[in-house]
Amino acid sequence: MTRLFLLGLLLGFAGVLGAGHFYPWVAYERLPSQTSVVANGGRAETFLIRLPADRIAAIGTADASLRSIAAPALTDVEPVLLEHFKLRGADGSVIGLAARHRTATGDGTAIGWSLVIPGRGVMTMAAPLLAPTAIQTALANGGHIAGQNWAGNLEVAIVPDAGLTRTIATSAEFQGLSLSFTEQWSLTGVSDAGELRGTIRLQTVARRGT
Amino acid sequence: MKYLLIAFFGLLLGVAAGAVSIYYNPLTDTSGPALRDAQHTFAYATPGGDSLLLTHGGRSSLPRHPSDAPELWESTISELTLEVVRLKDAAGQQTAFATRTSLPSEQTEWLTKGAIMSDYWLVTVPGEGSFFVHSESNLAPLLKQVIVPVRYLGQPWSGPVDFAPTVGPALDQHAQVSGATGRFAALQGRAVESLRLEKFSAARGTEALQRRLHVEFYAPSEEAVAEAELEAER
Repeated sequence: MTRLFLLGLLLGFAGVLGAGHFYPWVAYERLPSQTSVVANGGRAETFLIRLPADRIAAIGTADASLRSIAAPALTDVEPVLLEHFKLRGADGSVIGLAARHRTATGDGTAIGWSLVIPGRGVMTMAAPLLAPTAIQTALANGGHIAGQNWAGNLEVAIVPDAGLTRTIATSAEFQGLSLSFTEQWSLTGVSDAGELRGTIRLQTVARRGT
Repeated sequence: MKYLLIAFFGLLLGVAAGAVSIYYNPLTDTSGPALRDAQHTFAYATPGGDSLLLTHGGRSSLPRHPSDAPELWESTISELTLEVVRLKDAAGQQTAFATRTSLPSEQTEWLTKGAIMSDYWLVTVPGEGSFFVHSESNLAPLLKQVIVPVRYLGQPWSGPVDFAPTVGPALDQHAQVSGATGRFAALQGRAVESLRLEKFSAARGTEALQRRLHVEFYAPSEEAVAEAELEAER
């Protein structure tokens, strides 16, 4: 009887310690990645952001115009735009979060993207922004008038040259990969309140090493 | 039947002893290092005036704000917390803005590591540039010293309490800093976070928390300088 008691005691104790060590306390749902192999080596993957559905918040200085709300905290500072989105894979499923920071620097305007994909890892990338007002300019040329509804089809290449982009940091599945990307905005409308409709396409190519 | 009851009683006692051992396990009480000569210290208070946006999947006790901030309800992102904050320097002047994305880490393990939280910061100093911080924090000491005693065991709050949660991902237990744009572009560095929990209650959870991110940049390597120059020429 004592042996049985001790056996139960030992099993319970070892079971809890074993669960503490081996049980996957945190495990994320991981959707299949929609990747393809590119001809000259590397892995291509496209991420989508659908506007306005995926916009979480955009906070910026007054120069950000249509793209953000001007927060009281962002007066009297150099031009900056902080955008946050839900991130979708190429099949349209939400797979993570994206943050995009744009700011003026001594070398011109630049953007940094941070893509956090639970279960897969993080990609952080940066690029110079050669035409910071490209969206406003394209919309104005396309006939958009501030304060009015607008519908149409505009393709705006915000980062057209992947050769100018840099990998900043990667983790987990993306660890050690060198990334390049292009950023394309397909705009289909603007509401009278200034809300953009369309899709942002981030086309990435990941290669092993630098 | 009697033997079965005895074995079951032993099993229950063993489970209880295991749970107590895990709770008092000193191996998971790891605190992070201090960064005494940090070149930059960025501070913010949360919840409150420094937080411009806070949203999550509904699993945090902190209220989302602004109230119309979209909930992160999709199953793939429901564990994430997204916060946008303004960061102040030691003199209390607003110097930067940061997006902090947090999620429980798959590294979490209760025998040797603790409750690990991954934080990804994208920090922008307006007019100067941006940098990225990847930090792993052990929240087990916070759970054991504050959350479980106050929220679940009904003990009174006695604070403030200081924590140094950063335990990685670098081998020396520091967070990794990577320059992204502007004057930070060619820089690498390390960082630690320090927390001062000033008020916590069973009913409302965290009511006042001061967070500080201490950042130290290394001198850029020749290779990094050459790469930055090449990029500027493009």
